[in-house]
Amino acid sequence: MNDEFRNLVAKWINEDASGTENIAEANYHINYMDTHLYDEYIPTAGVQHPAFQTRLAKWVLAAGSEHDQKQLFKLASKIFFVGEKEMTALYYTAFSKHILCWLASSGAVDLLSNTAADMMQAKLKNTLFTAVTDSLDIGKFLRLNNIQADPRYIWKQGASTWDGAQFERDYLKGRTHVVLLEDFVGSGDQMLEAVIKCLQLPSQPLVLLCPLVICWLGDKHAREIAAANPRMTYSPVLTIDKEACLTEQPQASESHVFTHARPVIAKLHPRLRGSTSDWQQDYGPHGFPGGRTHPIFGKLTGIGGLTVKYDNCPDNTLPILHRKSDLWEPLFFRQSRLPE
Amino acid sequence: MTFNSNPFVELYMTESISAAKFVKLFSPALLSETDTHALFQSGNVILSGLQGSGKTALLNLLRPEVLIAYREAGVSWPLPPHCSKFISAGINLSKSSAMDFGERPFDSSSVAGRNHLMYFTDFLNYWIVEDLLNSLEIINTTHIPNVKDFLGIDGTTERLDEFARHLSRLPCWHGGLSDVDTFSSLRRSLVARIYVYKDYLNYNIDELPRELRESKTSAGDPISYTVEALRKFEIIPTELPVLIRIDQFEDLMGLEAHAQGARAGDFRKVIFKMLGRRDQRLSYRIGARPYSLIPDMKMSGTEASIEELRNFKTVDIDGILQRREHSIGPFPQFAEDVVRRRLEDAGYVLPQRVKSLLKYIFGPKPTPEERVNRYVRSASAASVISIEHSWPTEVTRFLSELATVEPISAKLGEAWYRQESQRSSDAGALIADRPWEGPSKRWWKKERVDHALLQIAATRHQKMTWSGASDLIALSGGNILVFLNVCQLIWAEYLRRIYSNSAEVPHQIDSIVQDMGIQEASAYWYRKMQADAYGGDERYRFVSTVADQLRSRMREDKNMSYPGANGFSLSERDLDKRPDISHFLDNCFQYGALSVQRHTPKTKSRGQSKKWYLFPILSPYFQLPVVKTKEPFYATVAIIETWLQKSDVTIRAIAKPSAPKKGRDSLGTQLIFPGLGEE
Amino acid sequence: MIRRGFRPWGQLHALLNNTLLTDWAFIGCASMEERSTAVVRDYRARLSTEDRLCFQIRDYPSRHQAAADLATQAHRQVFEACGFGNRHILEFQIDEKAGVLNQSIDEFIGKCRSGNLILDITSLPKRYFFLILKKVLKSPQFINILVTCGDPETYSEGKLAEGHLAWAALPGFNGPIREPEKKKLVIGLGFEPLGLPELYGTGLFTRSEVHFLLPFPASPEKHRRNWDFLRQLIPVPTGTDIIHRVDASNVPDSYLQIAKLTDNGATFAQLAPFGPKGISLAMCLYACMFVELDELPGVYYTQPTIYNSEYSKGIKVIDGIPSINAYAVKLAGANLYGRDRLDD
Repeated sequence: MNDEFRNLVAKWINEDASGTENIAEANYHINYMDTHLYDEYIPTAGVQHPAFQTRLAKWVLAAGSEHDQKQLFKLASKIFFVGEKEMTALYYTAFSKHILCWLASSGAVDLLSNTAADMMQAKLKNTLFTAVTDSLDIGKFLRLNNIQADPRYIWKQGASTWDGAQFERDYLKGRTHVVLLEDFVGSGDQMLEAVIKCLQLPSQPLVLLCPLVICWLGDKHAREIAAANPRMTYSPVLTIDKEACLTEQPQASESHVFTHARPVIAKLHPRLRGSTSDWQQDYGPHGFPGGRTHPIFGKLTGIGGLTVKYDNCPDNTLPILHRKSDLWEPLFFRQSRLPE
Repeated sequence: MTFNSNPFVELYMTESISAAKFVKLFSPALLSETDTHALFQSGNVILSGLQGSGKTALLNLLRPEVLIAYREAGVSWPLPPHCSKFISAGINLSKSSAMDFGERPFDSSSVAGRNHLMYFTDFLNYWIVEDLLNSLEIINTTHIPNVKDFLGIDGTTERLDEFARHLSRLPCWHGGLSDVDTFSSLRRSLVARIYVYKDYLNYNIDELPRELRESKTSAGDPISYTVEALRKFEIIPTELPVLIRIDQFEDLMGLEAHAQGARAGDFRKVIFKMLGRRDQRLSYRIGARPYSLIPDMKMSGTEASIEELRNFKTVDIDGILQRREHSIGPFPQFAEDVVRRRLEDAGYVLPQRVKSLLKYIFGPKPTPEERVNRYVRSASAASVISIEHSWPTEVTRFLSELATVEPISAKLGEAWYRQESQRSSDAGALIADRPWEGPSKRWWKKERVDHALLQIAATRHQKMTWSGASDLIALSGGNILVFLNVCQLIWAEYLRRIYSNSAEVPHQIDSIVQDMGIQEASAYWYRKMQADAYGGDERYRFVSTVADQLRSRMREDKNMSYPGANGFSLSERDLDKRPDISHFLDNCFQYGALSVQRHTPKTKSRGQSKKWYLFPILSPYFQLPVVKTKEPFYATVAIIETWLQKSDVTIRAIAKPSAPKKGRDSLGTQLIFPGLGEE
Repeated sequence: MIRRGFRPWGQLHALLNNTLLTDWAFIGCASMEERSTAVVRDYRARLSTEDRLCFQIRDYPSRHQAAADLATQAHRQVFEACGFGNRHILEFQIDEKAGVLNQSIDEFIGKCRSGNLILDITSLPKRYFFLILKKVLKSPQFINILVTCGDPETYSEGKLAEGHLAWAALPGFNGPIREPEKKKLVIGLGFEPLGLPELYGTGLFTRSEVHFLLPFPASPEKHRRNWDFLRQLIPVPTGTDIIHRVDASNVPDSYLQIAKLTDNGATFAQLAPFGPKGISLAMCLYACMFVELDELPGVYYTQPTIYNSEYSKGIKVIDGIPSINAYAVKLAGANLYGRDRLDD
């Protein structure tokens, strides 16, 4: 199959004599990323999953018509892979840039004075580090940045038994600053729940919302909340703009790869549902939160993300990339927590 | 060892590896060309070659560490006996701070600023002497047996100390080496002086010490006396050649071209003064790109020109490796040997009893019929030919039917008919005999097959394809780096498709695999052009314009009257009138964007000319044939100007060179175009 | 804990608004980029009225020149409106002799009264700012030094720079006579390979263990361009543990990454400051911490001579304030990036 697929790619390259489709560059890029990064992907690291090139071959060839196969291939060149080292870099930057700058500015610290280090250290001691969900490894974050911090709180885990006063007593313990970290945010539902709870705490701490990676929709929502709450600072480490996503509606200057891929993923979506069509997390071809309605933000659209994190694919990434059914083999299989 | 690793993964192995690895991978094939032996014998040599020609690998053989590595590995020294012994020293002009001499004035009164040349000279002297003594020490102190004895070096502590005392008192140093009584203190003094210069050029100190300013040495003097002293004290044998390397010489030219105030050739003149000394005590080796020599070389401070045969010989690697009219040149054998070594080093089991490893791995070049089948499906074959409405029905029908079974023949037939019908009204009647396939048209056909393939591919909106050992050799253009890069990318594609970790060398890698690797290499080399210094971006754009123009002409030339129009020609007369364009085109050659040859056009009125082609590896990207056949496109200066304008190239005005002095012109010219052969 | 050896950095307004230090001497550059004016425009009141130096640098002739000249002139007028007279503005060529640059810096330092300096590298070519920073760090005149770099709204998607010169050591950063056997070449990755692929072919870096600093975080598009840069250097990868992700604006962390690779300077380094200015600044600071010539890292670069007249557009604004990153490199007379502080 690999040969068949590789020969097909060769044929496309040769047919793209003028280079307008950029197939050759897409091919070189995918191969390069494969060699450097794609082996890191945990859900397919096990022996039951074939190597990336084989998965790519199967995935592309499954599209049916050659035209559709080509669009999928080109779409694969747009994947934004966040490897383990990328995540580590995000953990570092979140602390040394976003958190420290926030702490310095929140208390008007004279960073150029000879007491600056001590003042910043004192502020750190006065800060509670939390994670929105356990997707962010708060322990790793603290260890990487050599932060002595106890306790550690994960908002989602405490959601069902939330008690603000207890939280203040058992976790906040008089601290005046709270940092909410999350590794990957799509629409921001969970993140915003946590933020709202935090802002409602009686002691009124200053709050920093610091997602490591946030998509355009979550970014929009976070800005709206921050604009309405002076005690909250929103400081994302990396924002995925709309232009980098295959959104439901075409965008003015979007890549032609997206324009051509949009009808293809719509056409193939029924195969993602599978023959039993009981896919509980079906949010449409553009992924989460397509089709949902948010109590505050109203009707939502699929984010159309192309981000693949080394430890799992986010659910707001295009399902054509990660969804497995009896009629569809994904490129980067996503291991969901919830029943599919 | 896993066999899914790419044996070509490190391209520059012979230039960026340890001496021990060098021993395994260096191919001595180039050394079978006797022209290269001059590098290792007495006599000044300019070693000219493009990046990747193998120049640096050859110069590496001059390093003492490499000789020691060969001895240690028990591998026989690849040089033939008559040129296997020498001691060498050198300087890399880029890395040594030498290039910084034009950047900072050396005294407060600096006006015309010739002082910087004197300090540059002094610095060169000290550096080279220090490096020579360092090479000596490496050989003298190695624990590997038979190195010292092989070279005849005898450096006892007493002898070296005596030598040091003697040398430091020689007047050539002008008192610059005082307080030297041992070899160690001699070396320390040399290093200390070099570091003073470095401190000054690194803006760590504000002025040079007086004792340095007052003891500047003359070009080459200290080096010559050092060698003489080494022989006098029998530390080195009298007959042992002493070779002094000067690397990155071409960057000196670039520095001068762009530095304000420096007269063109100022720094190079210092080097030429050393070369022009005709010093029997030692010999110089200059590594340079082609065309990095000024047309009218003068020695620093004199007006005399340098006469090649008396002062230096040019060894042109590209010229040695490339194909000549009646021979294939040594490059294929060189490439074979390099591949063999790489595969062995990577642990592959080589096939036994094969005449050509390259043919074994990459197979023969596909026939034109095999190639055209990749562009054309039978159902659409008729579209490969272009029919005029005015043509007789029998002609149209014949060609259309022929196209469905033999597309190339049909395409050639179309061209033949177009040409012939202009000359004779019988063409239609003859067409069924397919005269273009007959013996009288043998050469006519051969010259046009690639042209036909180009047109067919274009009609079918397909890229031209490449595969086979001979295509690889042709596309490499005699450049081993290009060749290795192509192999690297083909192998990478091959590894993507195989499932087993076999140690066996693949037999005839699929042509599609090869084509993918070649296309990627071509794109890589084209993009890489932008990364070249001194106008890389402009050459990048210019090459694109030239290629587009030539390809358009070849596509639209339905008569196939100009199958050689994958290159262009300009008369030397026209080039003489426009030194700026000439210089720009020279640069294109110097940086591997275009290849160039002299030729005598069929149109006599054009006079002696030069013809340019894309550097071969660029051909797949731009979909032009590599083969050079018949006459190139006859361009004019006006056309080139249009191309330059289209490419947004701003070329610098250059004064016309002065008329060559009688009796010296031929040598100067030869130096400008080293290695160019006449057709 | 705060990273070892606290090295303050952040937005310029955050550093300046809360400090009592005033009367900052200034060195910067007026260019075709609007962001080159950000510091003088918004912090005019903080600057010394006399201790000012602005470079106006002319590129080589090209198709960009007319537009570049026009934009540069407009931005020069901003400097002039902020009190820069002709005596404060030096017009140089892109390949101006380093000796001339050296002399102008010496003269500036000699005339300075202020002990505080802002060095704005936003539009200063690397060939310039490396030498300037080396000199001002060494000078006893300045006891507090901030290095600033403004963020644009956007970068051009086209070619940013071209016409580069051949490989050479940056002025002031030529390495030792003979490099040790064990050494590391650290390359900053960016968008434009410039002369970098040539580095392997010249044999200039024989036997160096090569490492790359890949700017991250970066948007998907920028990230891809950085990987393309790497693919241009090494079309078939040789190893994956040689690529280190660093935040391009986080100079202290980039500096520490280099220090880590070289075992705090125990392993000899060669540096190639391509890519974002933040990483280049980190390399400069690292190189400046060596005193002995035989340890000094060689810093190699291919200086472009032509910049895209639309290199960048606008000035990035965060919460209504122009985004200018500022790095304290010297405070109270102490070099925060000195070798002695690496073990703090």
